[in-house]
Amino acid sequence: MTEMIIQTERLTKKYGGHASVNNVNLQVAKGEVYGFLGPNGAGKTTTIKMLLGLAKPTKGSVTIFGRDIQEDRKNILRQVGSLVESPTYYGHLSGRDNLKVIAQVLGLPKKNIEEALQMVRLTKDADRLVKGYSLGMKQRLGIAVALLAKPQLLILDEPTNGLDPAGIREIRELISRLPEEQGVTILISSHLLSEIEQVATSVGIIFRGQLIFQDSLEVLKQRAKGRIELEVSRPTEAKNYLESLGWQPFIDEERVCFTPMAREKVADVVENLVRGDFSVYGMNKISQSLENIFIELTGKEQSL
Amino acid sequence: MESLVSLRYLRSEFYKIRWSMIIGILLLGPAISLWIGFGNPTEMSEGANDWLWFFSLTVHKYTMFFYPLIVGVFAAFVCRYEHLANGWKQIFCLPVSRFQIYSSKFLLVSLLTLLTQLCLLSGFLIVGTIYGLNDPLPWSILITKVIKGWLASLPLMALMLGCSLLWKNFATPLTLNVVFILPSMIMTGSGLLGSWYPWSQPFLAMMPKHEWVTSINPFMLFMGILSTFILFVVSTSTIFIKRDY
Repeated sequence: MTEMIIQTERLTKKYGGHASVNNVNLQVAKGEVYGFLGPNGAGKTTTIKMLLGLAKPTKGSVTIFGRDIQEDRKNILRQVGSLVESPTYYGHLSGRDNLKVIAQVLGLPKKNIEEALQMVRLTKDADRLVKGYSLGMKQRLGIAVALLAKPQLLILDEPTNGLDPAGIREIRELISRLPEEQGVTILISSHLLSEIEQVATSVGIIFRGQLIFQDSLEVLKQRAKGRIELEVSRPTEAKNYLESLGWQPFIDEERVCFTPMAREKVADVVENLVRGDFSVYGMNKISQSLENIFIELTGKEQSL
Repeated sequence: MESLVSLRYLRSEFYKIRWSMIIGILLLGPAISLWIGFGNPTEMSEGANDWLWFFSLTVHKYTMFFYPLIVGVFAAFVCRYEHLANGWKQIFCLPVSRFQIYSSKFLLVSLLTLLTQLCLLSGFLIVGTIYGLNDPLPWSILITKVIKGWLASLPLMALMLGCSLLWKNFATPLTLNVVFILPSMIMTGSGLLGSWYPWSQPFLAMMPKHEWVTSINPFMLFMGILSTFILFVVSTSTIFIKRDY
């Protein structure tokens, strides 16, 4: 079995009577880039705050590196770099001095500061006061802080928020590089699927406080392949009939569905159905993007 | 058991402070008090030591207004940068406990206020010499008064630090401070009430015997200071530690 870096069990946070995070079981394996996806207000930040021990769960537990965060917070946090919500900075200090403050608390040598600056390409601007930095530079400084101690786990909450396309690309490259070069496990949250899609190996989708999908990116992409839907009379019977002929249909909402296939095969299916005395009322070919899946997954919940 | 103060963390607090601002306050507060103390012509009582006489004139305004004000400003200052850029989250994600953060902030405020006291004392000695005071210098009284005044302000430091930690706004704790400084004039008139009133405690502890001051029971004052100190430290640090960010 792969080693789990983050594991939560029935993690729940209630504000008032309302559950912002509801029975979430996150599983992040070592070396993964875990994309934590969800629309704004779905509970991403609250979950991340509980992972870091910034907020206490109403119920459930958080285990990081196999240890409970409530019991061993300090030792765990020594190996975790994080950026939560907007980046933190001391505006009256230079970029380098900002890192110095943190390095002092962690007892890190100067070398780490320079390396972190280099990784986010801030070396040139390191001596300027941070209040003069652009939003993107502040964001990069926040990531430099997270990288400072060379952590084993990096938790980044919306790290590309407010960045321009070039900045987004830079962060993306950095994130893809880290697991290979330094064996870091990364959890990165976003409300944009397109962002996660390009870096993540695993995906968790949270919606209204509930984790509605958690698997590898491959599985999510499988779902995105689309399908062919047939509206027929007596769908269940039709499915059994087709199965007996060697097809592999499945039923969804009273429709007989297939994974995408060649045109000739579609014609064969229809022919088979007609011969079997089923009426074919209609046919749909649905191609789905990941974006559609995301909307479908989160939209379904809405109608419940 | 972890240590109450993390020295590493405490040092990082020193990096963050904007010293130019702090030095300004350190010089300005005592300077105004000295100016008032020496600037107003007063009739000296018979047989009094002239150093002690002017010391009481200076300390009267200083402990009544400026010193409590400065305590509040320093308390607000050490929390300011975390409030400004939402820095609490960042330092809470570091391997230091919240109590260590609290104790470091408290230590920093108490060091700064101690510096203020020393500035007042040295300023007083310089101005006194220039002014030509020539009675024998009552060293031990002056030094004990300065230390006692500082110790008596610990409850106020705890209270103001608590307010500054919990309120994001820079101005709220400061306004509160000013509002509560004013009744201090009445409170100090009664030794019993004043012993329990954080804004009066430094005054009562630091003023030498003087015709303007009602005498107080030192034990009552000590008890008042000790219990309010414990009360404020325990309550505000508990809220600070328990809070979600």
